[in-house]
Order: sequence, then C-alpha cells, then structure tokens
Amino acid sequence: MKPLLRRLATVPLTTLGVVTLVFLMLRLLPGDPASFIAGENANAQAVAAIREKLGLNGPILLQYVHYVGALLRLDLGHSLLTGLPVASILKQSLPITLTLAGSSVVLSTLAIPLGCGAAWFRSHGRTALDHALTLFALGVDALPAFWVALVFVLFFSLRLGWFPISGGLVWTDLPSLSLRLAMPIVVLALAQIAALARVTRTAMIEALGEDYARTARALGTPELSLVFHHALRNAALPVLTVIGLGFGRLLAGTVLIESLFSLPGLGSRLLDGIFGRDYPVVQGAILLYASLFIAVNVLTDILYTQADPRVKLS
Amino acid sequence: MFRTTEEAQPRPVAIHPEPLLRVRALSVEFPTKGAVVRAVAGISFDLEEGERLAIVGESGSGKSVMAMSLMQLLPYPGRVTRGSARLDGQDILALKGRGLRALRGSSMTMVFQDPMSALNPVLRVSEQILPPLRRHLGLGQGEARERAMDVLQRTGIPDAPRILQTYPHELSGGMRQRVLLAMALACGPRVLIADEPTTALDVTVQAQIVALLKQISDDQNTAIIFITHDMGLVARFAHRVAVMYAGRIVETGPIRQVFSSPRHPYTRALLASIPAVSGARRQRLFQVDGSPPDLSKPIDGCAFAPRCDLRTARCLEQRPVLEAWDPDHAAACIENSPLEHALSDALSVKALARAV
Amino acid sequence: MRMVDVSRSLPTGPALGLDQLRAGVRRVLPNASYTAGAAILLPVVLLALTAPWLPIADPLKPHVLLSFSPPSFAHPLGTDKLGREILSRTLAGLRISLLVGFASAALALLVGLVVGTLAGYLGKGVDRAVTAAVDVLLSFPALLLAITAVAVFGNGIVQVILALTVAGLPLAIRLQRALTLGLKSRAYIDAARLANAPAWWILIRHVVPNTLPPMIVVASLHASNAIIAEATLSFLGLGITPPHPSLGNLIAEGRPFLQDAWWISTMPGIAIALVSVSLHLFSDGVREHLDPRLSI
Repeated sequence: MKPLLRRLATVPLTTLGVVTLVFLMLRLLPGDPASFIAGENANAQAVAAIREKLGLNGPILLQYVHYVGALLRLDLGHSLLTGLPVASILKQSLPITLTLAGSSVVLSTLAIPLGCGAAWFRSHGRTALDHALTLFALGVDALPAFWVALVFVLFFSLRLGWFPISGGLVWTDLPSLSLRLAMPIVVLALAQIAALARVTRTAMIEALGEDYARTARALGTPELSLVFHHALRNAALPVLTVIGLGFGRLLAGTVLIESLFSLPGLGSRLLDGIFGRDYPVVQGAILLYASLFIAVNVLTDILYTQADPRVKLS
Repeated sequence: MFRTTEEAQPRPVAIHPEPLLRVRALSVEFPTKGAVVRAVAGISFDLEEGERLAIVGESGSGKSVMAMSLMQLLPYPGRVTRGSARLDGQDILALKGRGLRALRGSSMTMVFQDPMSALNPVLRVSEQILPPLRRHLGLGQGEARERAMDVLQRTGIPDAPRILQTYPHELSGGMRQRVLLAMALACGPRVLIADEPTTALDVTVQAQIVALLKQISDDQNTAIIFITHDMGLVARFAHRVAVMYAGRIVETGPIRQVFSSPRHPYTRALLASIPAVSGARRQRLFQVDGSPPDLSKPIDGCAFAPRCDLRTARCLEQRPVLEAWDPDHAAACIENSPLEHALSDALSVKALARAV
Repeated sequence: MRMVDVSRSLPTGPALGLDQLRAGVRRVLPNASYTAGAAILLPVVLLALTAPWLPIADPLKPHVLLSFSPPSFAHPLGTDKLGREILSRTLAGLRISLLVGFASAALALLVGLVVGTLAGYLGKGVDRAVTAAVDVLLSFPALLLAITAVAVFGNGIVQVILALTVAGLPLAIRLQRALTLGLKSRAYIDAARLANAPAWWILIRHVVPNTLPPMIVVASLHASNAIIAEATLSFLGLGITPPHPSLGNLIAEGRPFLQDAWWISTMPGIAIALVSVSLHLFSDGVREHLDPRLSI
C-alpha cells in the first residue's frame, strides 16, 4: 500500500507544475498578451477589456493565486469569442474525445494476440507469418497518421462512399454513430497496433525462450495456456509501457483526427481556440488533456505492480 | 579407490522381460544454417522400474539433448532423426498433442539445471504446482492443494502452506530446486529425468538434493535418470552409470564395477580427474588434453581417439562398438576390448604354461 | 513519470563509448534497414538541398493562367490552384521539413547534453529541480506540447523549430541524466576526481563522449519524429503557413480538390511517405546497430 500512496503523492505536485506552465503560457505570448489577442486593429479600450477578462492585471503572484483558486472551483474562465464558460464548452466536447481514445485503445489491444502469434510461430520455426507481421507493422508505423487518414478518406469515403465524414453526432442512433466514428477510431488505432504488435512480439519471443516456459511444457501444459498465461504475464511490463506511452500519442492524435473528420471534440475546441486566439479555451483544453494523460500514467504504474510482483514502486 | 559405504548394498533391481524404458539407436540432429550438428549419435540403453541410472559426460557430450529428446522438448531446430524410445512398451517419440501432454508431468517428468530461472517469476508457487496436478489427476482445487502440500513436505520443505503462496524470487536456490522437484513428482511419475539438478547449487545443498532423490526413488519406486558431469556425486546414488562422449555411450555398467574397473580410457580419465580428499597434498589436478570434437563435422573412427593415449591408427579409422566385458558391463574401445584382453590373457597363460 | 529505473536498462561506460562509435562507423553497411533507408533518403535529401539551383520554377511565384494543370512534361508534378509548380513546392517544402527536423533534433541534443549532464553529475537540488521540470513536461503528450508551444510562440520556421525542440527536450534530458548517473560511479571518474581534475574537465573529457552514441541514436529518432510532427502541425494550419511551402500544408491545400486535381495533395503525400519510411528504416538500422536495447 505504501509505495502506491507515495506514487499517488507525486500527482498533486506534477499537476501543480502543469497548471503553472499553462498559467505562464498566456503570459509568455509575444509582447503584450492582451493586445496580441485583441489584434492589430483593436483600440485601447478593447485591449483593456481583454486584459481585465483574462486577469492580467495586478502583481503576477496574485494573478497566480486567483488562477489556481478558480481552477479548484472548476472555473476555467470564459471564452473570449462566445462568452460562454469554458468548462461547459469543454464538458460538451469531452465525451467524443473520450469515446475516440477509449475505443482506439480497445481496438489496438488486438495487437497483443497478433504479437503473441508471431512470436509463437517464430519459436516453432514457421517464420512466414512472423515476417508478414513485422513488415506490416513496419509499414504502418512508418507512415504519418494524417497521411494514412487521408488515404482512408479518399478511398473509403470519397471513392466507395461507405463512411460519412461530416454531419452531426447523434448519440442515441448507434448505427449512424458507428459509421461516423469507425474510420477515425481505426486510423487512430492503426499506429498503435503496429507499435504494440512489435513490442509484444519481441517480449514474447524472449519469454517463450525462457527456462520457465520449458518447465511448464515439461509438465504437460497446453500451448494456449503456456502462451497466454505463463509467457504473456512476463511480457506484460514492456507491453504496458507501450500502451501507456501510446495513450499519449493517441490523445495528441485526437486533435488531428477530430480536425480531419470534423468531429466536435476536445481537439477541435483546442484548434479553434488557437486559431481564434481564444486563449481561455486553449488553456482549458490543454489542462484537460494533460490531466487525462497524468491519470493514465498513474493507472499504468499501478498496473505494473499488478502484472509483475517483482516491481516495487520506488 | 572407493571405500564401500556403511550403507546397505544397492537394492537388487528386478529384471522384467521388458524394461520400463527402452531406448534404441536414438540420434538427434540440429540442422543449422551452416552445418548439421549431430548432438546424439545412436544411443541405446534400458531403464528398469525404480532403477537409478547416472549419465555422465562433459559439456557437449549430448547428455542433456538426449534427455530432452525423450520428452520432445528439443528447442527448434533440433529433431530426432533415428531410433526409438519405449516407455512401458509405448512409443513416446511418436506421441503428439494430447497424448504427449498426458505423458509429460505424469508418467515421465524432468527437472533442469538452473532453479533460478526454471520457475515463472510472475506466478506464485501454487499457480505453478496446482494446474498440472489438476490436469493429470483430475483433482479438485482442495484435493490438489492437499496433495501439493504433501509432496512439498516430502521434498523437505517445511511450512508448505506458506511456500505455496510465495513468489519464486522470495525463495533460495535450494528451496526452488525442491519446489521444482515437488512439481515434477507431484503426479507420481514412473521416470524422473534430472538434468544436472545440483550444478547450480551450493555443495552442501547438492548432497541434500541427491539424498532426497535417492529417498524418493526408494519410497515411490520412481526410476531416475541423473545427468551429471560429476562422477563422484553419483557414486553412492546410482545403480548403473552410462558414460557419454561426443554423442555416444562409451561405457555402461553397474556403478561400482565401472568405478573399480573402468574399461574405457575416457572413463578412466574422468575418474582420475576427481580430486582425492586423501592422498598427497600437493597433487596436480589431472586433466585430459584437448577438447571435445566438433559435432558438425562427421567423425571417422573413435571420437575420443585424438585425446586418448591408447590410440593407434586403427582407432582413427574404425568406429568402436560397445562390447561386453561382463553381462552388465560394456565399453566401446578398439584397443582395450574384451577380445584383446582375453587374447592377451590367453597369451600370458600360455607363456606361463610354457614357462612352468 | 515512469517509475521503472531507466538507468539500469542502459549500458554505460567504455563499452558504449568512443570505441564503439568508431567501430560502428567502420562497419558502415551493417544491415538491411539501414541501407534501404539510406538508399531512399540520400537521393531525396540531395534533391531537396540542391533544389534552389535546379532549373525548375520558383515555388512561390503564382501563374494563375497555369493553375490546376495536371502532371505533364512541362509541369512534372502538375500545378496548384495558383499555378505554382508542385515539383518546386514539394522540394522546397521538403527542404524546410528537413531543416526543421534536424535543427530541432540538434538543439534538443545540445540542451539535453548540458542540462542532463549537470543534473546527473551535480545531483541533489539541481537534479530534483530538473527532474520535476521534466516530469511536468512529460505530463503532456509530445505533439500536444508542440501544439501548445506553437500556440504561444506563434507561426513561423523559427517558432516551429523551438516548439519541436521543447517537445523533444524531456527525453533528451532524461536520457543524458540517466547515462551520466550511470557513469558517475565508474572507476575512471573517481580516478580523475582524485587527481584533482576540475569538474568541467571531467564532464567534457570523460562523461559526455561516452554518452554521445545513445544520445545520437535518440537524436536521430527525434529528427525523424520531428519531421513528421512538423508536417502534422502545418497540415493542421499551425507553424508554417502558406505561402511558405511545407509538406503538411501542401497536402492540406490540395484537400478540397482531392477528386479533381488529385495531384496537388498526392505528390507531396508521396514525398512525405518516402521520407518518413526511409527515415524510419534508417533510424531502426542505426538503433539496431549501435544499441539494440534502446528500442521502446
């Protein structure tokens, strides 16, 4: 229990660091943040109004305290463009992003049996499947995500017309929702699948060659149990690492995918905010993304200890 | 050379018409990219029920490969190219799938050399010892637990309930080897193959494990094939010994006989290299010059010839076969063969007779 | 934020030092990945670098009358909506992508070397501060960090280079710190310290040279990632914006015309696919060659 608590104790500190960074973000804008945001043609009054709204007046330490205080009340400020509270804007967009990211993670776990299969075949001398998988993984891994996404759009949406790339999301209409989200989820997951399959394969090749695999076999353990119960548990650490790291790339990927597929999620809000110089929205979105990532990291660390009893959180 | 021990004489082994394990002309090859390595070249031996056979040889002699081939545990690309192995009349080399899995762990089991890596580090002992028990004997969870604890205790592990819950990294080397033995013996196998089970352990623990194996063999009537490079270790343990060199058996016989009158030069060399506890203080350790042959190249004649001081031209051309010195004791040497010996005996008797 | 100790999994010391680097360079053609990657990469890079001097059209000059011309002998890759030559724009974009990628990798390497060495060698307060800062940076996925940085710094080449450097800093600092920590306890460092060598001399003469090989491997990986990241950023409209060509914004420009003037997006698309795949192969080969354990 204690190491777990110690691990959880680092979270507040890191979160504070993140908050501070986001706080500083606004103040690091070139020149005077307020006039930068207001634009070249704004008059002094407009600039002053913006300065007031963004809380840029007064000593910086006081600004910081105000900011943190507001955050603790879950007050992320107000959009400069619409005046709506940032928190509610982002709350609306969060479900889409979470659905995208979550579904992609689930889909990408397909890579694990793929990697296990490749490793098993290789250890029994049947290298054809192994080579095929490695080549596929290398190919997919090497291509930029937006490129793959465009190819998918070109082929499946424009040429074949199977999947729509525009239109609103109706959560209650599952079939149309699935059609709308299928491609984005697959594209997001594709890069993950490649990396995960490769790492799983490498880790499993090693595990299957270990002495304990031989012991299990010598006692008559069926191959299926050997691979998925005995060997996979040992490959869990590197696999978990890649899934954890991959989630970061996945989160960042949602920005791209939401833009490409016109999905009104957190990433779209972030981009709109950047283009519209709506910094409260930008700050709020980035804070949310970072919080999600921190949460996933903690979860991964906890899963580490469950997977391998030798790992003690230091 | 070796004093008879104060223990009782070795238990006489009943000779049935068909031995428990019969291995004939077993050959194992490893086809690699460069060449084919002939790790085992025509091994034959018998194992009776409850008998303890020691297989002795240096690294690379093929003893481990032979053992693994019996249970079809050869790593890819190894495969058996010729020969047969019959357990209770059943051809175990032809087994596949369910039949093979039924054999492994219940009729025939194996323990390996390094206990540190032979146990799965992420699973508790119970998760490693119980599933085979339940699988082979069809026991329920509670019954399997009972039996597991019983076996663990018999391998000299106190506090079996606690050990069942531990992870391997929490146990010492000796304890791990006992756990491995317990896992192997849990289903009451007819044959246990122990591949250098004590090499990675402390000397004191080594003796304990050997004694434990002997006791289990006596109590359960389990036949044991004990593979080692250390002749001295098995002197009081085994009934019979087979000496292997370069993938072949060069001498085989009851252990006392082989120890007291070794017939093959290699056996003699092995025995001579055992450091004597008694005797002159400043003795140099005996060793044989040269090294084992490259098994990827075909060997003409006797494999040991290059290192043998008895060698003649014939040895490099003719392959020696096992010839019997006694009903039980055979050796494969061209220069030192029963026929030659008898001849020279006869010649000296004649000479004696003439002299008289 | 990984709690698994990185330093234990990395080899340190003389075995990974200058000797290995020299040996590695001697065996210049080690494996298929490396050669395949280099084979594709070198001509492409060469072409991109020499583009300004090649007899092709100006990438920035519009010829409205020639707009939307399909690929032909006169216009090898076609022209875009303003009649600009796609070939020149692609090459120019390639040049910029390569510049951004390698510049940010080099910068991250430099800063990582300095900060990481100091943190590892000096320890205590300095180390804790650096580690805390790195942990904060690592709470952001890399691309998001780059997007944030661009949001702050604004658009432009220099800004993009800085943004990608920031994104690559955490890994570089962490690695260098771990390597330095590993080396700190080596015997020859102690020997130098006992001989009263000043700290900076020990660092420059003993520590840094031995950490260079894995750091360079990571820098090459970073360069390859940075090139793709820059393309992604400019595709989204961040960083390098039209009229300045970048592989990303070229593809984005052609998006509305995918059905009719497919060549506007396709050509830069092929270019980036080639660059990306060859860089991957190349860095995979380099990685396998210098240190197979660094694959995560």
